[in-house]
Amino acid sequence: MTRKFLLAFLALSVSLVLQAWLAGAGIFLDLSFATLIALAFFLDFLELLTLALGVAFVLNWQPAPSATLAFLAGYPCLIHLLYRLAPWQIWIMIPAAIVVGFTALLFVAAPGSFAAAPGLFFGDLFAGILFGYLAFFSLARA
Amino acid sequence: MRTYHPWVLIVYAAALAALLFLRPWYGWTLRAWLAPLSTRDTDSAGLAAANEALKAELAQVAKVAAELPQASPHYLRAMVYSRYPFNFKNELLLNVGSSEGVVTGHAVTFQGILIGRVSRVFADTALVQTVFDSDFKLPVRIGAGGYDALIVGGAYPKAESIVKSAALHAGDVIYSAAPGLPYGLPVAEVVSTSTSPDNLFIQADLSFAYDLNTVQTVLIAQ
Repeated sequence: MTRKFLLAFLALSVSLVLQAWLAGAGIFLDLSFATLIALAFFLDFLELLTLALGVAFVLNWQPAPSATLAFLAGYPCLIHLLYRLAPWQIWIMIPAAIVVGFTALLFVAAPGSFAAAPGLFFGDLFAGILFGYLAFFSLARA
Repeated sequence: MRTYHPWVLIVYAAALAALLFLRPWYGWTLRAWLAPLSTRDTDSAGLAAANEALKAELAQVAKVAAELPQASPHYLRAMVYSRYPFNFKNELLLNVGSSEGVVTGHAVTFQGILIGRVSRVFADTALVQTVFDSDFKLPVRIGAGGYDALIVGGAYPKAESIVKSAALHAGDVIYSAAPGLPYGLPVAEVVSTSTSPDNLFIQADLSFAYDLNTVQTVLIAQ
């Protein structure tokens, strides 16, 4: 395994454990989704796909296909392909991709939830950008 | 420089996809293991640690036993398998499904309190949309006066569409009054009231007598 892939796996594991731990306490943050989006700028497609499927496997909550999980695994792969086509400043693209991804995930999952508690969405988004940058700094030097 | 063959990753990805579709409960178990409620021992360094874990498991079993309500023939007991992992919805996956006679729309209670409705049924599992889901809506009545209202779910559920003449007080019980559900199941209590944004109705903030994150056993109305 490459050093970059191992670091990515570690960063994703940390975000998944923290996300599950916080969810058990009633705080729902999509840290692993944000980390996956950040990893899309550093990993090969196959590496990213493997990690995305791993996240979908752990976060799955029902014995049926889910548009939410398909988006969660597919969006980082799409970002990866877009970045390969049009590479730009990663430190700007990461928060932009996270904002677009979180907003799209909201509309895929339950658009009505935004009106019910917009503060939760913005808190989630802020934590996501923070984690995206953490993953960025972890991998930028690898 | 890559030091592994791409086929390794292809095999990993295929295995994960197969697990995701064919054995999803391994993922639920893994996530439950990561959550703070988990008491499974991952450190076998010493007997003291094992003893602590056993004590914790005993406490968890006692908690589950304490949560088990007096099941009547009209209710089916179920355990919570998994929970919706994002903040967009609020759903629980239960360990009973169509093979046990669970049907979509049935009421789900915890300690006699209505916490949600069965929204989707699988062969051996059922998905519950809880009161804290933003798409949840339930006709209810409030207090001794029996004022009609509509509970609108979300992170902070409210009782809405209450007539302005309703005399509501903090502590008034809100109970179910919806077709297809048992009448009179308690749902929440009124905390405070305010006028709706359109100035036509009263709305009430609610308090709930349970923490949904700690609920492990429920009853499904049959």
